[in-house]
Amino acid sequence: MYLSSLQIRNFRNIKETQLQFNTGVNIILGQNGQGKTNLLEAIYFLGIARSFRTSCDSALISRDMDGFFLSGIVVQQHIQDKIDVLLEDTKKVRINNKFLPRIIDLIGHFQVIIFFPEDLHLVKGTPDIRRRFLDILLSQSNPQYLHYLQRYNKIHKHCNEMLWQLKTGQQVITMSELDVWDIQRQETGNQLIRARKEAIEVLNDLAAGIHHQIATSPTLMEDGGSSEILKISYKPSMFNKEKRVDEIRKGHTLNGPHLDDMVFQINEIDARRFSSQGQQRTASISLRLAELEYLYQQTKELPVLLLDDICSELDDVRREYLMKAINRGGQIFITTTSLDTIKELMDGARVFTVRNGLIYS
Amino acid sequence: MYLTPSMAKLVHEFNKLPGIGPKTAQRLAFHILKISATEARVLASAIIEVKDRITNCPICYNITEDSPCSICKDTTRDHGLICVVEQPSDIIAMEKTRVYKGDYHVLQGAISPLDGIRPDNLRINELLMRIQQEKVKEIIIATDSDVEGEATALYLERLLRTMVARVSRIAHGIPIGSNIEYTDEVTLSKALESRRIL
Repeated sequence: MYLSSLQIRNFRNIKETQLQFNTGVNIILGQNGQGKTNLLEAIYFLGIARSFRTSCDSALISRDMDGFFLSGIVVQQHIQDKIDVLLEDTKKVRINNKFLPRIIDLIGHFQVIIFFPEDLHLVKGTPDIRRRFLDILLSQSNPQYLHYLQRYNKIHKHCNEMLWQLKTGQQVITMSELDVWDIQRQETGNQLIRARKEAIEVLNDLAAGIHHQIATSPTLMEDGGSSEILKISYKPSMFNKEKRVDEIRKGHTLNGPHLDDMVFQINEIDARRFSSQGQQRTASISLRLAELEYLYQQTKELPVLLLDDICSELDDVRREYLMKAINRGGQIFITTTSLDTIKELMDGARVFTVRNGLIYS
Repeated sequence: MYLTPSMAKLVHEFNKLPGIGPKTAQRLAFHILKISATEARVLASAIIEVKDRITNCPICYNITEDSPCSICKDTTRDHGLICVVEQPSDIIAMEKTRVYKGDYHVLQGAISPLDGIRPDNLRINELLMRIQQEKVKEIIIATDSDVEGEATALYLERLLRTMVARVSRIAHGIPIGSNIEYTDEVTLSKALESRRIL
């Protein structure tokens, strides 16, 4: 799968551009603050219909403009699809000139994976970051997952509304009314739990292998490094009927997949709290590479990789490993301030230079 | 865009209707301007007439101009069978099948806590009264398959299962005449779940 061309209008500091891409490596070169990441963000938006930097879509519109427009040609097994995403009063998505009834139906048409410095928070950050990672991955690989996720979120809102009314005593609500929503929440939630459990088992196997390879590279071992074993496990928030009393007291639900987490351990120690930043970064890269392999296994297509300023944060060993691991013949977009840091990718690559929102090829 | 006060008012009123945006509202208003005064009066009185004449059937809560409605009055129908739907428009769809020969019960909505719709706001008590008064053999629950419709179905099922000999839920599956390859994954997996032995 690759993006063959992209038209951008009024997106961040990119006013108007039309670009043709390489099916392999595309290097986005430029000084800081010129708009390199904005280009990656536009590509990401074409796949997920949201940004990896902000949840506020209107922040993506160029200053003093009313909306933005993105249009890309995605090629998959010699079949071309034209995907348009536009934000005016509302967000709209068109595939081959037909509007999708729901934005969310876009997901899965153009698979993207982002590697960016904030990935460190996959290990270090709060559970919602890890849940979002899982949700995006599973939605891209399995359309049914997205259906259950949306259903679950809706049911969950209804549940919280009832619990809140019970807490505040605004209305008399019988337990049988609450039961109806709880039963549905469990049925739908269990579908999510099952999918997440299966995915994390696969991700764990993949990531552990990758992490081990990075951590045991000869250079790192000479520097006094030791063998590291990464383990990623699922920590589901199981449904528990006995929590009902507490839930009514608090006025919201206290368990279910919206509270799940993923646990990272390095040599059996909680990596979120006790590992060094270097170890956490290796673990987060291992997870992203595992994501790439997982999507490939599930869909038999290499997703498009977006790498934002990833080299600046890595030492040579990790950088070299990453460059080798991502270069599998799929399409890559990588931003950098200097070609020196990505010389492994230069062979046959196309370079785009970004200066003040203008992109030159 | 300049509109005279009366035109602006008409556009504004059309715009309030479901599925009508400002552009369509304006197009409709200009259409009204073009038609004859007689036609306009017919349209206006048709609107007033439905408001004046239509009430809910005291038995099934479908819309009707008679009391009770033609379906509830029909002696050839099987009154031991009640199909529970959310809206009067669902009855129209069911009646088009010409297969179903039982009665209906219109809930006038579905349970939706976020919209403040609770079981008490629906015609559920009226349904219970019917079950107590009439000899009901089976209740068919035909609410929508969205989360609110499913919650309503589940609520009714739990409420009615001790009161009625049979409580059933309509099946979900692949539309007739459509290709399996074009069916969405969710519908297809539902259809697989509720497959039947031949």
